[in-house]
Amino acid sequence: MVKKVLIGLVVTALIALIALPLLAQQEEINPAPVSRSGVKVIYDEGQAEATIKSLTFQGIDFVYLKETVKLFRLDLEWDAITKKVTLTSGPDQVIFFVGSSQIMVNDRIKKITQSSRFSNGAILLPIDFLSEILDGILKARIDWDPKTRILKVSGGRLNVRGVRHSSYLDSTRIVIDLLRPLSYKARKKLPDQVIIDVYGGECNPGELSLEINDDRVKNMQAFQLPNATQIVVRLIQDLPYKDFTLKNPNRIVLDINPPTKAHYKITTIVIDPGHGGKDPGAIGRGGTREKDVVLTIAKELKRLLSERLGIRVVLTRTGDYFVPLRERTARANNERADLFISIHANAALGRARGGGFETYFHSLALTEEAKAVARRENAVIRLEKGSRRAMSQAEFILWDMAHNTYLNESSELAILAQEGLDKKLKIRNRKVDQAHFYVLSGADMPSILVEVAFISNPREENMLRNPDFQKRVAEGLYNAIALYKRNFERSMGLVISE
Amino acid sequence: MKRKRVIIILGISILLMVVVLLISQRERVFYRIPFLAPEENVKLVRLYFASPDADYLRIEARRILREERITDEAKALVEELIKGPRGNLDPTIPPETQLRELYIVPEEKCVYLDFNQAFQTNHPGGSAGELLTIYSLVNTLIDNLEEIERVQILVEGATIETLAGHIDTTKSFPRNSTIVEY
Repeated sequence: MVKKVLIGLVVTALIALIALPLLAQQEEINPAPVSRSGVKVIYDEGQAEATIKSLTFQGIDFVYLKETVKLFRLDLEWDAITKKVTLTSGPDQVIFFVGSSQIMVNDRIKKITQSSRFSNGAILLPIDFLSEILDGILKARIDWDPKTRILKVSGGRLNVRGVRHSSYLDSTRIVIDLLRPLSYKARKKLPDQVIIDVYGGECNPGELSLEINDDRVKNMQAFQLPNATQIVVRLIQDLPYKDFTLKNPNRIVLDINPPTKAHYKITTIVIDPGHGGKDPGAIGRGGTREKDVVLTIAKELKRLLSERLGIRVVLTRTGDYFVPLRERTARANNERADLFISIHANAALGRARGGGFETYFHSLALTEEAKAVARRENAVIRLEKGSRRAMSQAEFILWDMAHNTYLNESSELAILAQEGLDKKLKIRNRKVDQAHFYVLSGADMPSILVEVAFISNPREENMLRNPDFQKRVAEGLYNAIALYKRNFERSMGLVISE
Repeated sequence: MKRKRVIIILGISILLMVVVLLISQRERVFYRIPFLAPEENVKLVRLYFASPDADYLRIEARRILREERITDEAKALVEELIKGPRGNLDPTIPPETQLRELYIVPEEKCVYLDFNQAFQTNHPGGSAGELLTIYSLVNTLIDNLEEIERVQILVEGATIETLAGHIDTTKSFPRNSTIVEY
């Protein structure tokens, strides 16, 4: 009998010995995350700051991939089947698989002590991992202090990141993208050469050299000097130039043969109240119709712009009638408008039915992904005789620019509109985003589409009906346009009396 | 007699240990690989639905019956999207929507989805709403069907300018990862 009990005890102990560690391990594998207040990111000795959310698993700090990508302006490609993440910034690329502790930085494999992981459908990166990524593709140095929870990002080595150009009828615009503001000087050494020295600039010269060959500019070539980046722009003949800087993103702009002042003033704006007539737009649960609300806001915005700034404002519709989408931008083109602003109210399916305001600007027919594919696979261009050959990187950039004339201006206007609304409205600031809008695709000028609130959300539907809210929307947009006009005319060298 | 009992007890104990071991191992495998290899006639698919604040698309995993023909599999995916999410995500397609027909053009790697009028008429509108509807279809089909790289939306057999006045639907869409929250 004693023996039996003993055997029983031994067996139980054996089972416990085997089972317990397994159970314990299981808990470790899926521990409850601890939410933390977030990680503070400081760039270049405090020149800029941001805070991103963070989570802690087993004492290791993680940040969200999605937020990281946005913050550092990386391009993200995600393969849900293989769980492969590809991050790119300019010529640099980082690849890793979620759950693996290996990371491939520009074709070189590195092993990291912690691995990325999923949590609630989101991809999380350990801070160590983030450092490797940023070091690899931004060439930036990272210092992480776990006590103060501050992540210091100092000077991406390549701070002169790219060049672009657009050819207009009489002038050529060259844009030099900078990671952060740098001082520079533009000068002419020879009549047909403009030289730009970017002090403290570091670049990959190959990336910054471009064949342009339009009616004014032959090409541009970059050189890395010991303490500056030098960009030489070779002209076809002696032409005047104008240089200035713009922000968001930081860039130096060089206009060759800049047009006369008349082209550089904002005098006419077309405002497009969405929908109308047989198309009521979105309808709230309380019966509020988008077409009515946006018309009131548009009329108020027109009043503010013409009274306070003396701008000529044209509405695409002044009452409750239907105007086809194509006719709206055609109208703006005919009026030779300087800006096109479409006003809408948002909607979505679902329980909460969304909430907040957002501003969109037009994107190319080709999405980022399609562009990436085109780059990877050497997109093919058709030659006149029907034969084909691969599109070179330079040709692709040319193609991109040709289809992208007002992208910069539109994105700037969109950012200002979102900030203008943010100051006036107490609802959620969603985002500035890009999409292929039918109504914006024909616009021959900077254009945006503003979704002022969610009519499908009962709380915001009530706000949209409120004349005070409508006025505040109009004022927010007015402030944005006034600021855009001032910045724009200043950048063109016009002296504005205030 | 005693020895027999000991053997029985030992046997039962070993069996118990094996069972415990198996269970814990299965749990571990389950945690390590979020999705178990599906049984032969079932396929695990990823469906894109809207996040509760209509900001992004998120993935809901679901098992559907494996179809032999790719068009049937594509149809099944669209039907699952119309049925809506089972978890805490929000739907992206009006529930009255019906898929009239579905064609695949292999040379274009494109699937054409032909919906009834309710898809457009009952759509809530809004830029956010349209983007979520379009890319829940586009991303779901492209992610789950290897042969597909583009999705074209039709209503009652014809292309439409827009669903409700915003996003251009005249051409086919490639996958969009910027609208997805992982």
